Amino acid sequence: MSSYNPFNSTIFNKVIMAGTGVILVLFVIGHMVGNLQVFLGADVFNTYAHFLKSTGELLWIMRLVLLLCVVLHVYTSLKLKFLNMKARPEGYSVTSYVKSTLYSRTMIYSGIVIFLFVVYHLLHFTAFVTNPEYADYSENYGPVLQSSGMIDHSGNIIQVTEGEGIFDRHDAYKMVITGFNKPIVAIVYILAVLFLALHLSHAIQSMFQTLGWSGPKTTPRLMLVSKLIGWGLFVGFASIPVSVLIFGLGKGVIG
Amino acid sequence: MKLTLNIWRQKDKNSKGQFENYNLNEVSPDMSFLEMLDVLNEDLLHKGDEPVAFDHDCREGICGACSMTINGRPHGPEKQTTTCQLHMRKFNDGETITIEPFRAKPFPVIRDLIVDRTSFDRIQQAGGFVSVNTGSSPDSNAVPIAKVAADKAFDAAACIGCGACVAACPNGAAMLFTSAKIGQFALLPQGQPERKERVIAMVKQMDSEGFGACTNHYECEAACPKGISVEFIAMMNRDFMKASFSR
Repeated sequence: MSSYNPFNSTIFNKVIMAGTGVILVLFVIGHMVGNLQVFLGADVFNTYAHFLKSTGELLWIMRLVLLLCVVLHVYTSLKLKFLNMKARPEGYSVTSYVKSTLYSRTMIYSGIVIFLFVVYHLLHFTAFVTNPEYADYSENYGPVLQSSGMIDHSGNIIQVTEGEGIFDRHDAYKMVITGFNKPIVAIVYILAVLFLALHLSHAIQSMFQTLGWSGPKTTPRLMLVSKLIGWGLFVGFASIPVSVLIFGLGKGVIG
Repeated sequence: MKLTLNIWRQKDKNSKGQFENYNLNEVSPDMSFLEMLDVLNEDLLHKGDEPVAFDHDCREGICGACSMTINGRPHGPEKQTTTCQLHMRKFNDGETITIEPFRAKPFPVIRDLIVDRTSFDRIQQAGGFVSVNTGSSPDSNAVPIAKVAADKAFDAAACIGCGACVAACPNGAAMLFTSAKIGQFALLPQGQPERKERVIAMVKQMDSEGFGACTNHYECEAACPKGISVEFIAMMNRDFMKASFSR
């Protein structure tokens, strides 16, 4: 038994898939809720974007955790896929499935599509590599009161600076509206979230099963929840490019 | 009934197999699937051909020997039914039926439809037992066991080790079998002293045999002639993680 490491087992690899999946799903839900603020107008949306960027180290910790999850999730999935392919070297000439679905059997492909999309999405809206002009979109906001102070060791306020003024921040709203006004970009985003919906429709229930929560009553409910979250995310995310492209959301900001 | 059978023929483990077509003209709808194959084999013997080799034993649905994949489903289209309990009335007159062996690397084909399932025996031998002799059966209710636990343990113990779960799994995983063999002890007091060692040892053996990893399609549960629930896989995952961290 000494040579066996349970952390190399198929089960532990499945647990890595599920554990990283939980974090990524929670992020994606939060990301969608944040994005939906675009419907509340430029000011709300830019305030939210500015807040995210101003979190400093916290933002980078978040980014590193997500990066680690993505790397582990992709690496482990490929490892398991090759293992599973080796477990059946000679396939059936006739297949007939009962409980599995097309999307449960194509997780690896929907996963690859989502991964490629995430790379593009980061180059597009985060690093501005595909559209360097986005970096120059800025807007003035204010007047707002900004104050800062220092206290000494006995708790007395010793220095207060207060000022009211007009400040400058990145115009994320204009960036999103401009981006989705290109039909091809909007279509890529809509298709990507469609694949995300298919992936998560199987994945969320699967995470619970792998992590040990299952039962004759529980599993059908979790399957329903899985589909609701998957398609809910599709509607939420896709509503933004659809609104921009078809219903002219934010038309005023682009000249 | 008239039937066309498309059957996998393979001389031995090392030969390459291929499908062969056979026509049967007088099949009774009341025959079991294996009786239909017996008729085919008698025909082949009369003609001086090699009969189709297939596994069978009890022919009453309790031994798990009759392993074959019928039209893409292990044990055929009928729910919770072994091949020997499947009747020809479930097929249509004039139908073509494709019969293949169970397919998985740890289940190598020995001949035609017979596969070597000793990998299951090795998983069982790795820990699927209670080490101490518990003597003759105890007085009833001497060891209190909740009805729910007893029923569930019995559900797991219904596994006949036929291998349909592996054959049905798109990944060739043996998690339903292994989890049933672990689950039948994990729920009972007799299984507690060796609970951690058992799950680690049996999963280790399962992995080393070259079975795939579960991706929760639940095809195993659908194919299982005893209707064993994937709930046992979730329970095995839980037990395995607990045992790994507390070693």
